[in-house]
Amino acid sequence: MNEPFDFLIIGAGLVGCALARELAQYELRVGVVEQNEDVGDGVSKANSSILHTGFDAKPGTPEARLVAEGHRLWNEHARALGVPIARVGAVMLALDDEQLASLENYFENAHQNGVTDVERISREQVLQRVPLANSAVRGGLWIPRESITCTFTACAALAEHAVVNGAQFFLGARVTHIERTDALYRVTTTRGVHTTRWIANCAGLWGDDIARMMNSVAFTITPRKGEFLILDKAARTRVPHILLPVPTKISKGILVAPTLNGNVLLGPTADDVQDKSDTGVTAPGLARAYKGALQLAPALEQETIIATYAGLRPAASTGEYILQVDAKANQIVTAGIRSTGLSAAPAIAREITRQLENVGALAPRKKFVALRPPRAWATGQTRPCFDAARIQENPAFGKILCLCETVSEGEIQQALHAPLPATTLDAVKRRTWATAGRCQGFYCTAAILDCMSRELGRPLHALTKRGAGSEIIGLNEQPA
Amino acid sequence: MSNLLDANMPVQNMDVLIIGAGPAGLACAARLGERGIASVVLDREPQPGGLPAQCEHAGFGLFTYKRLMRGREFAARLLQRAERANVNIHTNTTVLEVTDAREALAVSPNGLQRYRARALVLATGCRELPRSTLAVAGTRPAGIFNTGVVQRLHTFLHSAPGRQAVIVGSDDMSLMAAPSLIQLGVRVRAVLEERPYRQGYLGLEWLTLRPRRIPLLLHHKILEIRGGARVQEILVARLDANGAPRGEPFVIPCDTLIFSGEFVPENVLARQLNLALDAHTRGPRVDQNFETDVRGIFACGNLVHAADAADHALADGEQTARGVFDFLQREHAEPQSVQQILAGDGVRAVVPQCLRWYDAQCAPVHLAVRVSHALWGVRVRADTAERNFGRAYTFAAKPHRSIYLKISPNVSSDEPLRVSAHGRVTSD
Ligand SMILES: Cc1cc2nc3c(=O)[nH]c(=O)nc-3n(C[C@H](O)[C@H](O)[C@H](O)COP(=O)(O)OP(=O)(O)OC[C@H]3O[C@@H](n4cnc5c(N)ncnc54)[C@H](O)[C@@H]3O)c2cc1C
Ligand SMILES: Cc1cc2nc3c(=O)[nH]c(=O)nc-3n(C[C@H](O)[C@H](O)[C@H](O)COP(=O)(O)OP(=O)(O)OC[C@H]3O[C@@H](n4cnc5c(N)ncnc54)[C@H](O)[C@@H]3O)c2cc1C
Repeated sequence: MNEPFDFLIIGAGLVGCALARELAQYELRVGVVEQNEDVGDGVSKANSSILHTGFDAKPGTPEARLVAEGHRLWNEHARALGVPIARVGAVMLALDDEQLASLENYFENAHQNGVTDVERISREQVLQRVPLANSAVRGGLWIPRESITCTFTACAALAEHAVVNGAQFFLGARVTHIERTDALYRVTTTRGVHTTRWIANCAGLWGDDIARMMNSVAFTITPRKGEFLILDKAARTRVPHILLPVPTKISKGILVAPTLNGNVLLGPTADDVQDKSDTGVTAPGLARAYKGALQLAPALEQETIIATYAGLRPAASTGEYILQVDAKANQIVTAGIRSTGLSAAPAIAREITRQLENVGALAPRKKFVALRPPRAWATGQTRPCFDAARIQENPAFGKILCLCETVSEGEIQQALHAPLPATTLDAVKRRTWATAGRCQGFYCTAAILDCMSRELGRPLHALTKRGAGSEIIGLNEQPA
Repeated sequence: MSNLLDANMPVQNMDVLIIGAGPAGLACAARLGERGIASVVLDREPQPGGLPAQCEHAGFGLFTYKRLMRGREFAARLLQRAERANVNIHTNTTVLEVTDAREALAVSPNGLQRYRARALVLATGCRELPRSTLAVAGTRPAGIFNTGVVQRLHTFLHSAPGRQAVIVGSDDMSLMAAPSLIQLGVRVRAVLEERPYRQGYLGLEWLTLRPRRIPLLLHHKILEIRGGARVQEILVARLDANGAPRGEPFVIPCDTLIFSGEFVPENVLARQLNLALDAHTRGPRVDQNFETDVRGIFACGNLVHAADAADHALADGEQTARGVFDFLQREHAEPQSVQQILAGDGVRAVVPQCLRWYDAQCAPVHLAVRVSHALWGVRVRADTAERNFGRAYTFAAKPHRSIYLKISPNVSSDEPLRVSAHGRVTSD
């Protein structure tokens, strides 16, 4: 067996990856085990990609504090991490008198949370900012620092930065058993056993199961489904800002948000479900998401829907974030990070580290690599195929495999050989955006599989969408 | 982000630039070459020939070459002709941007190229609508494809998509996917069609499905896709007259789902150019020479009527060549008359959308007509308020496939021409 880890993190979602990156800044042996074949393939792959200011969080809660801090940290580290952020701002639309009245509460709330740059704006100002907003709008709130990012890039960036600073990721390894022997934990996974001094539960929807295995605080996680539709790029110019409804008690409500890839998101819904693996879209859910979005901007009806997806918010029975550092048991728990975890992740990691430093000082890493290695392309940037010099350097940048998103073979090759290599079709899609455009793979799937097979040295029939069991083609070549 | 605005980038000037080396683009180039006009054809695929070059199945060329041949063979024949006419084809070359100054920015492993042409022809074809645009409920496992992907897997990677497939859609291309799949060792469990009638032709059903006893379930809809990692089964319901599920839904086990038969034009470049688009075809509006509303910019093939047979795309290309030829002779001429063509009773769309005449000659024009409902015993006609310009009878017509009407127009008229179709509404 290998040398024990100082910290073994269970779950490579946004929270686990942020924690790995934070801990990797110190002289520590950090490991991450993840059941999926890629990082960020759980809750973290299906959200609205909004970097919240926390203006609407419940004042005084850890969530309010951590979202605000997370917003600041992301902006501070975005450049070093290569994470794109666009400060597009949000408009909250009041569509009737009652909503107009509650805007006042949100204005107050924002100030209590230190978000003092929110402004009340008139009906005319709303329509001036967003000409396609529902003409019935009565007034609005302008939240200038609400921003958009790309959740895929964010998660991969955190993980890669941890990797270049020595953290080890074990993908496709589901934790099945945890036991404590003397000063060490023994963590059994479907791909090997690890020992570690500390253990961190960042298991998202399955945090309650892992908590049971760890014998830590007891809680239950209920998945709350959010369904989305994605509009084709033509819609993007008409949606300059995030459009928010006035929230209800249950959720922030259905919004309309531009994305950094130039599309527009409609959603999410909020429905409690039973099954933690139930990320399917439903006809009624999609209909509600669509209707809710059209209420904010009826004119979006003319635009083309190119994709749909659903995510599950990991809501804890306590209703709040659960963050715990137990220095006696050497345990860390992060749970119930349900609808703001993208924004808060770096602050959650920082908070945990602060608490660890209370227990004992941590030595900064001697050979700390401050920058994530450069990539061929990052979300929101101009593609390399538009740059003659780069094509001359690497002709693969001139060979377009995915036309809709103008992704070249060069970008795909780079993702396949990155510090944290993409090894599945979904991972390639999340790194490069190939197949994510309007044709959803009509043209490029075969060519990308061919490229993956060559670069990874794997036969075609061994390639998967997202791990064992999701083989994409050639099922006939394997015995049933 | 326009590199085209970068004045320093060297530009290659030419008479004719054609984007897309499918049947439409190649036929246009070949025809021009045969008349002594050089053109450059760009295609992003490694091989020229468009969709047919990616198809193994024998469903091509009945009109052009008077026999059914494999797509690859059809493409090879056309390519030979283009080569004899000294056509200049650049493959692995993707056009990223076009401007109405008829400039194009293209990229290949050799770098970025900027072209400026006197005449620009868009022949970019069409694609199938992905599953999510069709908003089918359920999970998103591996095993969901469209026929285009299946053809490419077959032709280029010699791989089958799975073991047990259900085809969704009953277009000709959907029906044709069945033998391809079977050849790859895939069992086709059923073909589903949401509409009460088959989209493709009865003859093709007899050829492809009946001998293999593959059920064609008309008026059936997928309610849900199930399966975690890979498709496991689908939940299917029969529909009532209002399109609502009727009776108990049932399950069809399968590991592969092939969505097919709903096509949209690949109109990205057309949209960059702000060309006027037809609300029904979603492709550019064109005249009888496939010239768009911007002088010197042409659009033909599946881009203007998705998706008809390759023979028709080829014929479009030839006609476009005539238009380009004339344009090059009289670049600045204004048409003497413009006659709109309208979709009348029983008709959803007509291509071309207008006739533009520059001189007193008037050649007959073939109109591609899409009916609104599946019809038997169809009488199609084109009339102005005063007189009839052409009529035709055809046995059967489907909304998703054009029927053709030859008209002999009247040069001096600018009265709109209305195309109508009458017949017995049918479920077959
Ligand atoms: C619909 C929706 C919209 C949202 N919108 C936003 C937004 O706009 N802005 C924002 O800031 N936040 C948003 N969020 C919230 C954000 O996405 C989540 O808070 C965040 O992704 C939670 O990350 P996580 O790391 O806790 O969970 P996860 O990403 O689920 O990570 C947990 C990981 O643990 C792994 N795991 C579990 N059990 C095991 C095991 N036994 N062995 C090994 N690995 C295991 C899982 O596979 C998973 O990868 C949204 C969420 C949803 C659902
Ligand atoms: C699955 C399937 C099966 C079919 N089976 C039959 C059949 O059996 N019989 C039959 O007659 N017809 C069949 N068809 C229809 C036939 O393929 C089309 O009618 C024909 O290919 C249309 O020709 P086209 O030239 O308009 O377009 P395409 O053949 O699609 O050619 C368009 C070309 O443009 C290129 N292109 C697009 N955008 C760009 C860009 N930006 N830069 C560079 N290049 C670009 C593409 O790479 C492509 O090569 C089938 C179609 C499909 C999808």
